[in-house]
Amino acid sequence: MDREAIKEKLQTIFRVVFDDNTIELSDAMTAEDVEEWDSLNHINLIVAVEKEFGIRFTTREVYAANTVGEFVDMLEACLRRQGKIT
Amino acid sequence: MSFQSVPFLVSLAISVALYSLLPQRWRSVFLACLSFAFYLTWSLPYTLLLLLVTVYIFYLVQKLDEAEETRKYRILWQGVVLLVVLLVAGKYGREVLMSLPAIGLSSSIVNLVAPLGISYYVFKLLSYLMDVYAGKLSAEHNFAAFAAYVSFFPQILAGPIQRAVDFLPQIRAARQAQPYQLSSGLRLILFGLFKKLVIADALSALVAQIYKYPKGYTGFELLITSYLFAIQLYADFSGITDIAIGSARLFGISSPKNFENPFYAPTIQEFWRRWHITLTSWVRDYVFLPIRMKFRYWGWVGLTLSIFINMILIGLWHGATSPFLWFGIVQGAYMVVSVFTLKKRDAIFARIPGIPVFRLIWQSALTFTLVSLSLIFFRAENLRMAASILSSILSRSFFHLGIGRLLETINLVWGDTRFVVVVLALVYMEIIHLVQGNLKWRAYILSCPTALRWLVYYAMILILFFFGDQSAKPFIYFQF
Repeated sequence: MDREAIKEKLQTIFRVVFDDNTIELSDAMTAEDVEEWDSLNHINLIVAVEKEFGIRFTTREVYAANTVGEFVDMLEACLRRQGKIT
Repeated sequence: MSFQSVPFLVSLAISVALYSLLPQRWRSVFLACLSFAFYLTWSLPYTLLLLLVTVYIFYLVQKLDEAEETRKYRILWQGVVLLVVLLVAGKYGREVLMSLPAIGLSSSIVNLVAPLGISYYVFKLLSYLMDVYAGKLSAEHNFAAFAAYVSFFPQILAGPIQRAVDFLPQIRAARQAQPYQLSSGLRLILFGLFKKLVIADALSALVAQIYKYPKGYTGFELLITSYLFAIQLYADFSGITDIAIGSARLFGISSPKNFENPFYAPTIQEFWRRWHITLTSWVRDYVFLPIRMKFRYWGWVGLTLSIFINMILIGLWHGATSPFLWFGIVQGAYMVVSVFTLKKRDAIFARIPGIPVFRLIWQSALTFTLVSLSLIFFRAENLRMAASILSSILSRSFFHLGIGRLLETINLVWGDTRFVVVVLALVYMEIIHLVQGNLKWRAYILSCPTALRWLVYYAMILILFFFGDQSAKPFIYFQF
């Protein structure tokens, strides 16, 4: 699975969690660009991503990602580390 | 030296002038020395404490940044434990010692005061430590810049709690303030003083008079009093924040905002995104998020627990007494109910045509009322008084809508003229707050004729002199 495929899958998750089919992810996007993406919903997003990709994040990883781009990079690194992709 | 004093304003003017004359590479040293000198006017021993902690964290975080992954976590916890112990001992040590028999009565304990600003500078240090650990920024190697960050005098007394990732690049660049920053900084300081001396202190005198004997007022009058205290707290705290942000701006440094018209928030979650923003976002990032992550597979139990821990901590940050604990519990309860029912309520009301505008007004009024009721815990001397006032408001006596006694008290404390001045000042304050939040209106106001704008500034200064409270009441958030 390459970065674009990861991002596409993530976009689907975003659309479900935030109940908005018009969400289009871009690397520079932040929580301020998506309605309802607040600290309360952020963890719902994390749980949905973890379930979908079959991984577990650390708090440090989640905290360090400020933008969607950084989130995708972090997700890719996590998948590689846990042997889900090569 | 307090913010609302002539020596402070004079020293500020001289410091800004000196700062602009200094070569750029000396500015961070100057700001650090200035900030420590400011702190020294309060206490020598606590200045040494501040210096010691600053030096220790400066070197610890460099060690953390250079350490191998396996050691980073241990160094992080070393720093976190030290800072939390320092904060708890500094803020609550006196209360704990006072409660111990024999020791508590010792005059040296009774006279002990908490280190000034400890809640603010420890939070800055904790956020710096955790941000370097998370890789958000590298450890700072310039001690003067770091010391200036920790001790920055406009922010040390009552915030805003600025993050290092935001402040350090500014202090390294050490740009002189542009003319627009100088003028807007001065305007903001004037506005802050106006809010504190004309509005907050006047409301404080009135509320204090009512709280001397709350049983003498009806439930309805006590509800109005709780609104007045909420407005007093807002004017006081946003006043000192404006002075802090304005002063920083005179040195070309921009600070985060702490308020965004919080009393118009339609939900309690939104209120906390608009009130004491830097504290709420700090607790959200460094407490709520890690706890929520830990409990993320616990469903609604995990969410409820995380919310309560978050709000109780915010309550206890203000003080380790039961009223503040109850403030946190009540806010936690509000938040849990709101979070779990908001989607359903939105769905129900969306089906009723014509409702949205009325709903927004109703929601804001309800949120403001709920917040004001919870702030009774802030103001009452103890839990018993808070409970008595709340039960009076929530009892049948609430429906006696007469406000005769309240009007008598207003007449006693303020008189007619001051009453008119306070009401007009309140309207003016809210107009300015709304303008500040809207770029188009701000641009319009700034494009008005200079003479007209200066007329308003001079009117504010005159009102400050003639109607401002001269008794130098301390800012409420100094004590936290």
